[in-house]
Amino acid sequence: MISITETIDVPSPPERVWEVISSPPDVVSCIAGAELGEAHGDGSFDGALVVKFGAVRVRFRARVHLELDETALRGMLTARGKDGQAATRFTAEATFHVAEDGNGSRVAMNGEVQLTGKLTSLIEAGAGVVVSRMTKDFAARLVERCAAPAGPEAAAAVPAGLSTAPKATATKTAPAAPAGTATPAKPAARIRAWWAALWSRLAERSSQGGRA
Amino acid sequence: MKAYEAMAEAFVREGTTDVFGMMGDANMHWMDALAQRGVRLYEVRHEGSGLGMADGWARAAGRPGVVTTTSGPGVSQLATSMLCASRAGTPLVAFCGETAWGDEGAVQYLDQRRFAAAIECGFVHLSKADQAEEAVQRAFYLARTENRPVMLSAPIDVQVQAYEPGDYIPSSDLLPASRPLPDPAAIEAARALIEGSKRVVVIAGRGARRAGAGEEILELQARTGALLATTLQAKNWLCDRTEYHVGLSGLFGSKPAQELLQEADCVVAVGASLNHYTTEHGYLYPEARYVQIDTAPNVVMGTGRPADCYVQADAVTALTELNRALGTTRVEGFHTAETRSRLTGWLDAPIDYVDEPGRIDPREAIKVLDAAMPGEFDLVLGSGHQTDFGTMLFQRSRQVTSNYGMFGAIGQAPLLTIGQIVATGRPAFVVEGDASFLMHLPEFETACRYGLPLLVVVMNDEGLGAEYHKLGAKGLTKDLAIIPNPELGGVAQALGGGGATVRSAAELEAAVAEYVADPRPFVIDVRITREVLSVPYRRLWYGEDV
Repeated sequence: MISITETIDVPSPPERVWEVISSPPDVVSCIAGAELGEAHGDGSFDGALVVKFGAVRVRFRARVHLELDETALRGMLTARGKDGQAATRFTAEATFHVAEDGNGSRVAMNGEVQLTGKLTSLIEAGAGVVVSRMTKDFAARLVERCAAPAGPEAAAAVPAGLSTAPKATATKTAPAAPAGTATPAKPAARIRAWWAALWSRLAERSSQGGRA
Repeated sequence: MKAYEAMAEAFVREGTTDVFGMMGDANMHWMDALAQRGVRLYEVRHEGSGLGMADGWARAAGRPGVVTTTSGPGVSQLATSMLCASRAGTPLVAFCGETAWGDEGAVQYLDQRRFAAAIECGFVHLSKADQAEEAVQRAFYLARTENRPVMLSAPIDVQVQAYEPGDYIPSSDLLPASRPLPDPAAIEAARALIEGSKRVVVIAGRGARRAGAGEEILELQARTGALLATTLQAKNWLCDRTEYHVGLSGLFGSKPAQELLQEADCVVAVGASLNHYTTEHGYLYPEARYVQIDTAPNVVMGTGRPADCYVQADAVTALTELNRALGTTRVEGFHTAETRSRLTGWLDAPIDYVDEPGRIDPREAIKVLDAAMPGEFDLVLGSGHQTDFGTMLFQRSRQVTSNYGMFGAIGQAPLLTIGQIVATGRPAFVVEGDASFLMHLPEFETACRYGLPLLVVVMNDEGLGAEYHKLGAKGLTKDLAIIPNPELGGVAQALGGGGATVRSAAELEAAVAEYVADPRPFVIDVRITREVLSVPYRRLWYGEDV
């Protein structure tokens, strides 16, 4: 088991930090090698993550659940998935909390990653080091992301594989704001709008019998 | 004639020329009969060590090795070495005496059948004198066909009973001599798979080397623009024959090798089982489809799956057919200037050696050894943390034997080397850790008694190197793994051999030159720093991309 205990100081107001950290496309853009996939009926979504263990690159696919308590600025993320060889499975659970701290915010993250399967013998204790390195990298990108101005494109980014473009080549930064989702005043509304946009697209696609 | 004499005669007919072991009440008659028949007996200091030597002998000779023990305590000493030989798939026969048949109250009584099962070897029992020849034939047949050690257990009272010998048929005569030829449909499937690929990797294993398929492998590699990699058991084979040799496939591979191999869309394995070490559970070849050529009826790869295309055949025949089917079109594949520069860049990159007074950087020690030891000197790689350096850094083309992954016991490599030298008659050097060498130190005296051209290079960090670094990685007390030892060069001289304790690259060079000029039992105690962590450890324990 790998534990994550990280406190990230972000020189941005808590509202802005919450806005970023509660938005799957924004969070994904803060994780090197991560991609967002399809959304599902139960509110979960797919994600993919390429992790380098030494020189070996391993691609994990996961189903991610996100629970948000926007009044308390708290959230919980759970993910479970496996790698492309289907030889290793993992579950991850993390809570995060955004609090005001001086002129900025402090994000407290606590979590656990459990790896089972063939990969564990290859990476021994190195996995913990890799996760901690990724956490540090995430912290740096989060600070950067929060400092960037919030825009409608970030709020309504369409996940990879869900673009209306014929070959589904949209990336996580694709500025494909659907009509009717102008910058919402509050994060909650923004999240709801993001999911609504996803849903309308999914519904459209499933009525055509297509899948990415 | 007595049963033991008929058994000795049968061993000779099986091709036994050298027997390792220790004499006791229950095997002395048989050993005496062997000596009268011109078989060379190697008296060792521990039965398990004798089995390690028989293991090395068998691996080098390509036929069953022989070890002998007396009853009970002689047999129980075999445990660790027997398990290693079993995991290595080594054919050998252990002639073990037994207390009088049925006398379970005897001091040296042991239920040898149950013991054999626990230590993973086959078992043949001599229950009646008239089975004397049949039992020997069966033991050798099982060893040859199942590629494993077999214990031939013979009660002393049965051994000394009278027996009328028959017309002995050696077990090798029971085996068909034909080569397995490839199914044309399998060759066609392999051709289609390879032609549909752009980035091919050929992995040569121990089976390909044994079959002498080098030229055919090089031809396939040239046609398909393939990278050539080997398993640990075929380390450095053909590395002087192509610029596109990436070295080892697996954790011990270089960084450019690991990166390049992950780009492969097709792997052609020849005489390589593709176990989880070679493919890193498949993670080293995430996009590849597999063609596997092997003489076994089927092989399940380390990923738990069969190859996409399996060709059951002799390596030379299968590759000859495959090369013919592929025609004369050459594909560029990996054969580019860029690949070459990635591979040579790693080799040529300067290493910043650790400068610790009185201790050598282990990487520098390997470099000096590789340069100073002529290619005709065979190499055996030992165990522990130190072996990682040699496994990765020895670059010269020579016969290399590795015992890695065969039960993970330390101390076996010098024994294997002794057996190998007896089988080949060629000088060999083993690179081993201090704890490993000291575990079976008395066998260096055995090497001295028989005047074997054995060089033991002790990479001496005065401790259990693997544990030292793992304790560090886990935040425990590293110093618990430090175990000081005396200068082993002097110890070797006291035991009747040559020896030197070296603390600088220049001293190491001088000591190697002394051995090369006159190969004889010799120990070089190389005092190495504990400051250098091996590349596999940096990957495993610290997730470093190195």
